[in-house]
Amino acid sequence: MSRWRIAVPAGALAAVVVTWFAIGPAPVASTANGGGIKPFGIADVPGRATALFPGAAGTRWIRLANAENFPILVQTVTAGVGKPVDGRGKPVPACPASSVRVDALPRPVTVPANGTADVPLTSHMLPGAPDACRSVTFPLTYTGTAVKP
Amino acid sequence: MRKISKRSAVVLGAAGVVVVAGVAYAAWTSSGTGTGSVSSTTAVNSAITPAGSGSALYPGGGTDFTVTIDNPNDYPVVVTAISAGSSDAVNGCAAGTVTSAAPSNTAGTIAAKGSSTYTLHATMSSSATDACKGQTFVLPLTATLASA
Repeated sequence: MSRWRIAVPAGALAAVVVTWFAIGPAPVASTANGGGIKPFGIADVPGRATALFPGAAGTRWIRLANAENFPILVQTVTAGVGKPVDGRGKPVPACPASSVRVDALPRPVTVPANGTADVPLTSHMLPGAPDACRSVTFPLTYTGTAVKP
Repeated sequence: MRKISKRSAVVLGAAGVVVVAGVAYAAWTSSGTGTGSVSSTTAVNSAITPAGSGSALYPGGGTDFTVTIDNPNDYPVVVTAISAGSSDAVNGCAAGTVTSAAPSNTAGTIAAKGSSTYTLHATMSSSATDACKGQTFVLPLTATLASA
């Protein structure tokens, strides 16, 4: 009796492990990044941004790029705002980077295999942004996470 | 006794599945990185134009007149101040013959691409000369605006 009670869960566990490696990661491991999913790309969609002014909210469209041969579910994307530069690329120290913030991805997005998905992020300029923040560009750094759905 | 042992075994087996599934899920994550930018808009100066000249002035007299301030920007603005005005010289009539005080109240928001009219008060100096008869006086004004 005692031997049976131990043998059944151990057998179930072994069966699950074998099944997983047989139909799960094995076919993809040869193309995946170290057994995981290749990093996906995040970039601006050209020409699709709203110029900001104090107190305004705009839309910053971004493009998620999936290099895998299966869909991925992008769960999070956040944007860090850097120090702004003027039209000649020179820093504008009188305009703090905190004058702008960009909201995180509002909901998970599925990106098709070897495809892209364009999604909007909401950007904001604080009401008290100083005059120095006119006609400047704020660099953004995107980071995100995804899973295989 | 034997029946209870089987149930326990099934529960333990199920727990094993959950543990393995969790490990497998974690193995299939990925990260993404990239860069981009957002820009702020360019501010365009507003213009002040005469809207109504009021009644004719005479030495020591005054009249209300109106000006229109436009907002060519893509965002709403408020007028925070309108300067005092002093007339230019005109046809022998001395500069400063007609003046307007800075208004104390410029409340209100001018919508994007919109305009608004403000009432000012002009006064003609009591020392205005005959050269000032029948003249039209231009008072340079400056308005200060801010994003609403």
